[in-house]
Amino acid sequence: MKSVDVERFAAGDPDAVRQLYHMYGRAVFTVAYSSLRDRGLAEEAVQLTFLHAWRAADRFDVTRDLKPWLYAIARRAAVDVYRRERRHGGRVPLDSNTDIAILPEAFESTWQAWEIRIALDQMPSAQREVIEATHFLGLSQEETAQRLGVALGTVKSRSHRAHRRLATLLSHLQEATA
Amino acid sequence: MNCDDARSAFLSGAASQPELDHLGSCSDCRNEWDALETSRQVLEDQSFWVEPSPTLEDRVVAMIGETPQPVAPPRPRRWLWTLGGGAAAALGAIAVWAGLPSTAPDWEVAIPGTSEAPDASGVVRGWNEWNGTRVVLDIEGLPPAPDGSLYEFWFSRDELHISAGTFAAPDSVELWVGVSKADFPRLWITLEPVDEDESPSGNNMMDSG
Repeated sequence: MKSVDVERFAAGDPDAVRQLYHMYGRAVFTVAYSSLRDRGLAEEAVQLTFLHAWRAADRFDVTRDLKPWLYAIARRAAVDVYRRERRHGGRVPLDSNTDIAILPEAFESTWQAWEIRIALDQMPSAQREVIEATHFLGLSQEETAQRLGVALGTVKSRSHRAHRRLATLLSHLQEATA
Repeated sequence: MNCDDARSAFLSGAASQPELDHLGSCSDCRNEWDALETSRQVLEDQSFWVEPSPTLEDRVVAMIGETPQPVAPPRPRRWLWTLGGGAAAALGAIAVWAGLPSTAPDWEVAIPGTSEAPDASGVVRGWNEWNGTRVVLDIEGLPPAPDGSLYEFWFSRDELHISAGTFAAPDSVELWVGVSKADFPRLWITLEPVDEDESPSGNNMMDSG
């Protein structure tokens, strides 16, 4: 996958903004939605994430990895939206006893969701379809084969490759956080 | 047995007994057990699969396109640095005076107190600069910010809020913001606890509406 042209993004080039969104937009949304559990608020957090990233892009060191930088901005944007909604008695669906300074547990496990979402988005669509059918739709491999109109053996091999790729990613995550 | 095969089988939810036995006996796999378990939970969480609206990409692009370019903070007046030290010292008082807005403002807005500060009233005057806006607030009837808190002045458009800065003692306050009133027409002042939260609190003290 092509790398993002941060300089063009910093200049507000719409094509560069779209390129960054295509690479990370769904992952940013996943972080926001996993935390906020509300589509409208999550989409607002996505907009704020890209706006903040654009404002800070001219200070970004292009020799560094973009992912953790953007993840930190995304998480912060979700936290900001969450705290604002809590202050204003908004629609974040949480225990009313939760203190505004204490973030719910959902905010703590977003890094893996972010990494898995990016890994899925970078997979061939045929493999991603199998993962979605298994985990999202809860289909068996036989049902997945019927749904996709392919042989059972094809589903098994795609599933194996896709999950192997995720397993490899996880070992990298483990090394990175060890 | 290959570790990746056993892990991928576990993630897929179709691990056989030999694969589960491997995950339980292999030290490398045991070290990754928590990550595997969390990842399977992530994949099985229905919220993980929720998709953003198809229009979100266009909204992101439009928002950035409509927002003024980020600007660097204002630099010291370059001409002062070119003067000799003695001359600069002699002109020091003039420079301080010259640093304040002295021409007529480009706009002026009344900013009344809200129900949180019914006795407060004020006027905001603004000077449009090439890289933002210089504002002067003249406020009456607003007490000094309590210990552990500060007043914060905001430029807003819908749900997008840009801070122009903080102050403790309201009187005549001069601030700078890198956006224009034309783009962010709502001006308001909140009382903020001194913390790491950069978003506006719900303590709205004065508001131009």
